[in-house]
Amino acid sequence: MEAVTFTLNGTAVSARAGKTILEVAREHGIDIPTLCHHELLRPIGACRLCQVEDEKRGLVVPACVTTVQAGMVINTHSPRVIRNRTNIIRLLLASHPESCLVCEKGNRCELRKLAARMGVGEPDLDRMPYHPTVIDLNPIISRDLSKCILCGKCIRADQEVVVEGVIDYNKRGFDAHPATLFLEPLEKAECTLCGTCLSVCPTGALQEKGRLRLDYAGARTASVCSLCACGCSIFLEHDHQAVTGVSPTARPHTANGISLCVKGHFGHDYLSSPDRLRSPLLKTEDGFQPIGWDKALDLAAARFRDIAATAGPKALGFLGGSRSSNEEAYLFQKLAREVLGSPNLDSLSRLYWGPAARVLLEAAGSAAGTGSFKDLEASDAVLVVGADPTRTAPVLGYHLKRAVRFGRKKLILLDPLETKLAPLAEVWLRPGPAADGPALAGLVKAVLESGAQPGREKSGAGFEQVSVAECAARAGLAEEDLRRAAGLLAQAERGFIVFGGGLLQQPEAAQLTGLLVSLARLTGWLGRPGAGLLPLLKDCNAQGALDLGLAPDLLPGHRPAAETGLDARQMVSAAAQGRLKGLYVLAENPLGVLPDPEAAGAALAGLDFLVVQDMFLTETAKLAHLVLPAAGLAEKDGTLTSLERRLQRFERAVPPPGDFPPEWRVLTEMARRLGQDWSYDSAGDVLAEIGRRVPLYGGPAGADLEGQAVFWPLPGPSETGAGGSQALVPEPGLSSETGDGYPFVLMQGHLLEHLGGGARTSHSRRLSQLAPAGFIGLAPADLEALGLAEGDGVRVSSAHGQLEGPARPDARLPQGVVFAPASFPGWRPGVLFGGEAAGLKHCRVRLEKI
Amino acid sequence: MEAPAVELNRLNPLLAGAAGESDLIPLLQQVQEEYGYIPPETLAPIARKLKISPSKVQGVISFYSQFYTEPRGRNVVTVCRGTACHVRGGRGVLRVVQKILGLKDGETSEDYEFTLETIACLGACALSPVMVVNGKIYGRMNPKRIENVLAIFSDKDG
Repeated sequence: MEAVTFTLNGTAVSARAGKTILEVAREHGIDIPTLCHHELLRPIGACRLCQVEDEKRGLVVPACVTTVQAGMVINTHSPRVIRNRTNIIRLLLASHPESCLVCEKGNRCELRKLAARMGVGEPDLDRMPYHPTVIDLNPIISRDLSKCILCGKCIRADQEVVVEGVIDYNKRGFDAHPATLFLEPLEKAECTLCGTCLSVCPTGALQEKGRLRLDYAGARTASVCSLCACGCSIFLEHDHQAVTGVSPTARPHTANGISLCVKGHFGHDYLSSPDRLRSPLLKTEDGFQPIGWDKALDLAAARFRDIAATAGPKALGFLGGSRSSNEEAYLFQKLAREVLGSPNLDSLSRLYWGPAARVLLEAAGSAAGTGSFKDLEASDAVLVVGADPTRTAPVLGYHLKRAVRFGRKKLILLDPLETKLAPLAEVWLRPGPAADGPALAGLVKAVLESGAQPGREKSGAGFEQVSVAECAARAGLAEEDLRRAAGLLAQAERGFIVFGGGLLQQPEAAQLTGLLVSLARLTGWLGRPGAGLLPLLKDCNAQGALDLGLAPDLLPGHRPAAETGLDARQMVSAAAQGRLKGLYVLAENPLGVLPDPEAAGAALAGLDFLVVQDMFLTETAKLAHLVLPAAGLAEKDGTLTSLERRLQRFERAVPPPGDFPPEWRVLTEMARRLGQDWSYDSAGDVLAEIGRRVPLYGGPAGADLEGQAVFWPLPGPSETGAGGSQALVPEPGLSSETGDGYPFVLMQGHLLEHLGGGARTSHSRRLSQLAPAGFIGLAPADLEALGLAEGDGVRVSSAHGQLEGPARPDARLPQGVVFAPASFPGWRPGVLFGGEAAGLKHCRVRLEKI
Repeated sequence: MEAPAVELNRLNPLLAGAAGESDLIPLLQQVQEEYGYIPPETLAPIARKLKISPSKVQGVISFYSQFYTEPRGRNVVTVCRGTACHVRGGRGVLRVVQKILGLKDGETSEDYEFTLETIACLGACALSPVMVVNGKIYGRMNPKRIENVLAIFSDKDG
């Protein structure tokens, strides 16, 4: 890159051509005030505070949008510039309310800080107040546009980062302000309340409602959001006692930059929930009684040892880890395998992605996605199958939307639901529910027939008999659309297949993933750096838990186990049959996730000894003989591995609500009581051992996790396996279930506001206000045909159970499909699912008005 | 009388010719030509077609004074409020027009027959005071002439 030399405040400096004056000045430690500038947003030069004097031309120019030129003579603090800046601040103050004393932005207001720093007090100008009319009733964000200084950061954050386009400038001149369509309050506009606008607003115009304290609490600790698998980098603001707020770290190398979602930004108030468990609880005849830690650990160790001794180690099961740290996951499996000798080990995230992980391991050499969010944004085409990242992994959704909107990448969507991605899709394939199998097989064959991939691997074997027309017909798609989608995929040099719960939770997930592998081979994406497959995991450490061996068939580092133990569902069956006698559940709630929770509950209740360690008294914890409290992420140290394979560290910011040790220490103490000499003094000691013993984590564990993006490495193309392809055309799912008397298909899914079964998010006051209770979503036409109004009670019956809830129109749904969210404790669509082979996604149901 | 219902199918031929963000202003002009104003119902389809957000469409509409978001009358009366008209009684012209039509500046009659607007200067100062009805200029207005001119349009089509 060409270098440019110019004069900055009397000193000759050289900089890369194309840089702005502001960038170069800041690199040289010169402080230029700004209000509308943010390094992660497009500069627009709106506030003019950054103006500097170009002495040769005799002009003042905005430094944020003026690039450096050779020979320029720039003065950043000339008397003229200082006078202009002061006047800008005075004018801003003249149209700003004088309510600083009671303004909730308090000492976090940038306008006030800047005015104070520049010596501007009373502006001595006629006041020009603006009187806004909109009142927002949502529990998250309030707007007071009288305090808006028109910096446009919120608009740019909304349009360029989050790509929602909910707000834009409205009107002109003195009347101009950011506004939603038809000036609706945010909760009625299509706002997702992610709060990215809030994070960048310099004044009190945008406020977070429900903060524990209004000012800056005095301390902040870098951490990782644990409310989905994106691995967003956050600051926990706190006063050393409680977390008072969350903000994005806004570092360029992170997954999220300046963005977050409504869960991550505002859901962390669950940490301060009064329902948190504070001490170990022992179940007695009089219900749960608090007991001391020593007694609890002695009891747990003794009972596990007894069961292992009398019934054999295989009578013990270990379930958990998808929301625990890597260190905890590693110690948990070590306790199970090396200390107690049981192969029965699983994490609940494997319920949805275990089969796919196995296929990916055979195909790509490691059980993980093959790229990062940045890769995704840089690829040529993206196929999204049965996934709605705008709900379940919002930050991944932002990357995807940016790729399509600004990168002109082609998005192909395969989903029966009209998700928020549908309007962005070049081709939207909308198969019938559970008809992904024939749709994908047809897509593979159509790519083969498109002939646009000379020299690409002969992965067509097995597809000779497949007919695109027939597959299209069976999936309920137009053949022409399938071929158009295939043409776009075949032409893309680098592309990604993003697939999620809609596919992963079907009983045929392994076959369907196999078809995706075939497709990724045919297009040449598999094995090519920055391309391939990306499963949309849900839990914050779903990837890490699998990497560290929380699976019945895989040891840490995805190595095959000598002996395959029981998986989660098999453990429940074994418990029902009396073969499993003891179970340790670590920070998971199987009853909130498993199909047929009643039967699972009965099975777990019949165990000789059930230990549940969690932050809250979940449905599963209520059945336990011994309940151990768990620390929240803000209350301990450790690392997490996101769905990008990104390893990140979090640190203790505040104390837990009771006097209790973090889980890694609990596990260590338990092992000691079982005769081991575990000597970990910190989570760091455990990570160091992981680095030594798990090759995957060898490099990352020792890397600088704060200053850069660290991913565990993918195997090279030569090590990419040959397996995993699938040439069968799976029958459309649900074919084994009779349609007689059950004319509707129910899809279980998730809401933006809650994670998974809602064990944590349902304890967030603000998220619960946004999405308080379960409901039955219906296509508007079905709602009308059934004579239902919004809010009317509906009974949903399947062959296995019944669920009642209020009806709600859901425009995403095709006719004949109903939706039930899985996120509300005490209201579980899982009761409708049953049988050994049941998936977690679809079942046939009928509806009645009640 | 109610505002006529918006027939969204009249929008489709206009949308057919538009592809991207740069077509926004010409498209809005065509829509306004078709409906006489830009019905709020058209914002979402326009945004979808141009692959931009509806709030941006609204932003552009509200920026330009040439765009109207409410139905206007069949006859648009514009009274000049420029300096030359003012010194020759422009304010009186406006007062008389307001009285005859029963409308204030910017209003539209309930039967959608008349919309009353003012303009800063028409540039036809030699004819002052002037007013414009449906694009045709009427100069040297006095109360009698105002009544006569407006009567022409009130009578038309009943």
